[in-house]
Amino acid sequence: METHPYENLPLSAFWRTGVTEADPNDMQGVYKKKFDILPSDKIATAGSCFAQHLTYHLKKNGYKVLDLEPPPPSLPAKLYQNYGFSTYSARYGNIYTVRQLLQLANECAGIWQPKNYVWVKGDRFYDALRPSIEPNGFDTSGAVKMFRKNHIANVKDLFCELDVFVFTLGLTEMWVDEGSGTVYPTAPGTLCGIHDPAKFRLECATFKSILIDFRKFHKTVMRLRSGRPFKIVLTVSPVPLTATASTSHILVANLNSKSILRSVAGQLSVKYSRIDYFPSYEIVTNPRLHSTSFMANLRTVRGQAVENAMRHFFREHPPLIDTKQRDGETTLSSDLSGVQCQDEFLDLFAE
Amino acid sequence: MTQILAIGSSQLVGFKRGIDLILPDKGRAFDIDFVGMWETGFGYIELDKLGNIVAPDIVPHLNNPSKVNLKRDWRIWGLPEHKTPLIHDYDFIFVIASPCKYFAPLYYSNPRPILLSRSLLEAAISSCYMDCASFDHISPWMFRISPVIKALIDKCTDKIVFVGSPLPISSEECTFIEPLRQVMKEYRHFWDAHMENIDTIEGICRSSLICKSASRFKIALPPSDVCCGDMLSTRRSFYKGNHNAWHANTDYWGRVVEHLCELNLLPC
Repeated sequence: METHPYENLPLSAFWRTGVTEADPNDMQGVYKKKFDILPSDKIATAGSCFAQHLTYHLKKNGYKVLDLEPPPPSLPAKLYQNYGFSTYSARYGNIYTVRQLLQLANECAGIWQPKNYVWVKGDRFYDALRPSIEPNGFDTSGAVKMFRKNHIANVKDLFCELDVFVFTLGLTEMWVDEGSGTVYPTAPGTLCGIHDPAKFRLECATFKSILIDFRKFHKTVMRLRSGRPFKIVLTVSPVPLTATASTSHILVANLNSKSILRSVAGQLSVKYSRIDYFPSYEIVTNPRLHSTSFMANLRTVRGQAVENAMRHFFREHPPLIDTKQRDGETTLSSDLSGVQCQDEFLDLFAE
Repeated sequence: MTQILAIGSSQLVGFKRGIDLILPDKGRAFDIDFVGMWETGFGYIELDKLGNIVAPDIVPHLNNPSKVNLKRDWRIWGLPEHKTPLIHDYDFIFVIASPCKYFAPLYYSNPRPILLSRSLLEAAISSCYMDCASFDHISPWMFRISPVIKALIDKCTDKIVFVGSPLPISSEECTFIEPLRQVMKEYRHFWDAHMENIDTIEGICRSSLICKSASRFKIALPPSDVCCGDMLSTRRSFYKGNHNAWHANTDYWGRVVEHLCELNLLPC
């Protein structure tokens, strides 16, 4: 008979044996899948910049990752990221917040329209909801609107076609259009646009508001799919905030943001059988690694750390092709050191 | 008298027939030389430091059942002596090689049309260069600019005129073009995107013709009346044979030559 409830627990249940003394690159049981991802499952990916790693590795391992806005054949791979191709399942760029995701779904469903989303830089026009997909911007604001309309039609198809949605939660801070409530992925004046405090304000999403937004997102997509269910894999980006516009110190703001996002992901995955949580955040930020997961800026995740996280994922969701096949089949550059993070631009303002 | 060099691969034969049909030798306001090589062989042609367009002394193994030696066969057509072209002898160099790089479906995959911005198209077009090694493995569907064309663009951009060749559909008609047609018929936004792309491409080509910059080459698309209304393929009446859309008949090339005159690219 047990003398206390911890007596017969596995080594992974204890910090010393589970973390301190465990090989950080070969930990067991950190991730246990909730459901299978079938070879026939069509996967869509989105989220903050860390999601680009997941997209790449899912493709590399033979999973059927949808791409509804694929790069033109013959466009060199080095230009893919510049134009937002092959980064996710459509050219929506980084979706840092759940509110952005909800907006996108609502726009696809025709129940919401963005306002004040054509931003200017010099004589060029940008889609403020995905400013990084055209490095040189568009010729006219009409072109921005036309491309957006076409993009939304493709994303609507994406939401209808997918079987599994992989989403990386990235930020809680967001910039909002004062008049309409439209949320942007970047602050006005960073990549493009003009910052006018009278027109834009900072909003910090809370645990409750994110949860509500996510449920609304799910409901909208379900409606688009006429009720056909789909599976969701959530992750939280281990990449720290580049900057905070809140009054808190960045160290505090970062932990606050990650804690909220992690809690939301946990709550959703505990509550819903079709939502799984993959702990890439925990794997990368494992204290046993003494921050070696990050490069010198303590922000960019090293390739080795990404590989480590992915090993956990593919231990549970085995690769569908062998290593020999992989190299020739992927279209994305294996060097993802240039992962597109628009919020990197905020770093410029710290200099 | 304007001096023109027409250079290219197998499409060049059709172009010569078009010239002979519309602008017979006698009354021409220009002199034109033709020099060509079949597609794979054309990938080995080079521009030397002096401006000579030359061929190496090799016998390529791919698509070369007659064991043609490139150096022996690379020569200006119809001259009694063996002469290779020197770029300084010409005012314009017409490039007639397949497939036409300004053909919107070349930028689609799945097949689904995606909306293409002008800047994206220009980036794709300017980087569609292949080296000799890649030429051995080319897919007929992939567009490419062979090493010699790349060298000519670098050396004398303002002399270059790209002439649109027949839309490349022969082996792809069932597997690519027809599914594309179907998807465009079913979904209005795909149709709109494709037609918008056609407009953008035509805009790029139009501006190339009016641009006076020495750093821009000129592009002459096939006239729209030789293409199907959806701009996905050449009209069947212009195929060289029933199932040969790689090459067009003389009527097609006659229309192309008339079109070049209309665009003032050929002095008529």
